Amino acid sequence: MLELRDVTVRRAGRVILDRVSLAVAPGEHLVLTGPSGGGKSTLLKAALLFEPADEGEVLWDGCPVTASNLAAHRSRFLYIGQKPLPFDGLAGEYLDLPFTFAANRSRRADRDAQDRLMASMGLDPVLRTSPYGRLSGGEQQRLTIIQGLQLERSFCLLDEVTSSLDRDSLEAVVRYFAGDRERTVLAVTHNRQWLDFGFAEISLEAGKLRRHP
Amino acid sequence: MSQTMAISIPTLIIFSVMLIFPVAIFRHLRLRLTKDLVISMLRMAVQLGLVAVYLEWVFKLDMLALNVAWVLVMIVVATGSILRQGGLSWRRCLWALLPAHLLTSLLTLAGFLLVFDVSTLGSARYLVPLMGMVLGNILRSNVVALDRFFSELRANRDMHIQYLTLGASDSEAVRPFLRNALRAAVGPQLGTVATMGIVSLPGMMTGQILGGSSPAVAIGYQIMIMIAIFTAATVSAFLAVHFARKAAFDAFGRLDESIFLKRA
Repeated sequence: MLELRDVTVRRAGRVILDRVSLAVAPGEHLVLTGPSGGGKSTLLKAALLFEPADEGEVLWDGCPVTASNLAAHRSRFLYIGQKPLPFDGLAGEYLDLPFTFAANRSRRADRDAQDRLMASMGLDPVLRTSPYGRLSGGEQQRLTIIQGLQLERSFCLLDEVTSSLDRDSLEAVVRYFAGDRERTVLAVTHNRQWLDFGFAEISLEAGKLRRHP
Repeated sequence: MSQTMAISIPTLIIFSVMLIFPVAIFRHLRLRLTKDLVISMLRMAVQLGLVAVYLEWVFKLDMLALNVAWVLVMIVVATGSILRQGGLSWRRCLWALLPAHLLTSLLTLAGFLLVFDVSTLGSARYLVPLMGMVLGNILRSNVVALDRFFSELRANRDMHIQYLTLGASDSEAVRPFLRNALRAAVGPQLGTVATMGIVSLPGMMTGQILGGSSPAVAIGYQIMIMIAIFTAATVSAFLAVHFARKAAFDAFGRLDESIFLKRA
């Protein structure tokens, strides 16, 4: 279970997160809303300790996360950012990228699983042979989601992953995460459609966190 | 071999009349560069004058220890210049970059030993100009590599985070940035190598021909120095980025902004 306890983050004299406390139970599906610049992205990064907290702590199952258990902590999460990222190579190579890292060498990319995921998110599996750089932003974004999903991480931190998607693919992506009860999901979004799929809402405004009933 | 004609100081002063043309162009365009030009030219003249006095002395004594000491000074000054041009903090990065350039210099010297014997290479006449050319030429590749590496890393922080969460190790997570940095640093040098002799008459060859060597001898040296420079530029840029990366991230894989003189 992920827990943030009284986390405060200040940057350049501004308070980005103001004593934020949040516990996310396994299997919970949450969306994090709020105005731009309200600290939503910072909260996701703080959970992975990519953003250092000035005060407070991040815990997993009650244990504070420190430099010594950091690798284990991060390996539970799938983090996907808001922009599709640059990559030099074919779309298929992009999907296989995680398996080129030494930590994942024991596993292999499963072509059938990739095809199924692509189809479920409205991507034609033949895209695999196209250069990643030539695909549209929405296609790159969905490939990035699929790339991460292969690792079967139990906790997804999604930072506005649907902002570059059209209506149909947005719905496909939201439906996928909504249907995945195995995974815990915390998704930053401005799109209210997530709520129709049973996501509960929390919001962050001026660094203060609020849970909606 | 004929002695090269010496250029006297009065002649150089007369020759600097040439600079009237750039000054006239600056004035015409209202480019406020005249002051910079005067300062830069004077600095160059004073620095070279001092080095000439010093090198005359180094060449006269020609002691191996002194020659090596001079090469060490060149390495430190080159490293400092790379840090300044790259906007990196001396205090944080000097100890990361110095080993990169010491290792590169050792490798280059080992390479030169395939051509020269120890006593020839150790003499001031060979060691100082050869290492001077190599070190002078790795400056640019290092500045470009470090600048590209850190600017791309800062612009693509999310990509770095994503790689790390996908299970990449610290070095795997920066590999795409390292790749681009090296391509930017040594790619253009390959172009220079490929057009050598046609577009540009290289400095070392020109110097040797003026010094009275036959073009055939001069070309031998030129080919050797081009190979040495390219190898040193690639190896030093790779090692510089590699060591700088180790200094640049904290235990949480976060880029430490204090290594930059100018904050993002």
